[in-house]
Amino acid sequence: MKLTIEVSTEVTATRELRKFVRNTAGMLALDETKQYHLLTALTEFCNNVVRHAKPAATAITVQLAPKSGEWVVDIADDGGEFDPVRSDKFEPMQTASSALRTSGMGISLIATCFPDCGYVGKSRAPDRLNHFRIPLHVPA
Amino acid sequence: MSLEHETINESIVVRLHGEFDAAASDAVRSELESLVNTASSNIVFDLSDVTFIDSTGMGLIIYAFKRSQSSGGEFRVSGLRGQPLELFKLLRVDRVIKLFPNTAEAVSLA
Repeated sequence: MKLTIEVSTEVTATRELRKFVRNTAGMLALDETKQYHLLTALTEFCNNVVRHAKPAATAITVQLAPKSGEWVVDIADDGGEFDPVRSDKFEPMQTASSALRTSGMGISLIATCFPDCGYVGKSRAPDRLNHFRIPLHVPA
Repeated sequence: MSLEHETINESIVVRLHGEFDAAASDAVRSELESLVNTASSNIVFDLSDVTFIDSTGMGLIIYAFKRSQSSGGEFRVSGLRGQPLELFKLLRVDRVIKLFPNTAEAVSLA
């Protein structure tokens, strides 16, 4: 089974995303902490696409599908490429002294919540879309 | 997202409601910054009715904390639960900003 939604490309798109996550969390049997991490990471990634993609994205699609027996979330967009995993900010928050550093906070959050997430830019994707994927490590 | 404020025990209590995301931050930024920049006393952010915070919302909270510190006031956060509490822990902000279970305790210790 696959679940797919298209969200807007406005700054409020993240609210549609979070509604999707909350509606499917029960089906995925996500514990509370993992649900909070998924809400956080998807919001931060989508914020980046909506606010910073050049050229701007005209469509964002979120798909939840099984892969190798586990659920994987995939966000596809047609905007300019931005690979958070290759960013120098892609590192988990490790010390209290860095807690008040606001620059790059969103990417650090993604790295902290899902260090094994992945990104394939549209220049390398068969469907010519950017794909950001989060393996949830829960059985499908 | 909505914002209201009142003074209790010489502390300005700022109450936020709803999701404190990038869109909400854009909507309340000028009011919040104005409140924090003119405050001459302690500030308590009551987040008991906030169901989600993203990095943009957290950026505003950290801005308020830093402004409060530079003016010699105390900055406290009360009522965190769910995703907002997890976000404070993920970012280790809970080690820097004082958290209280409710606003009554936050203002009574002012």
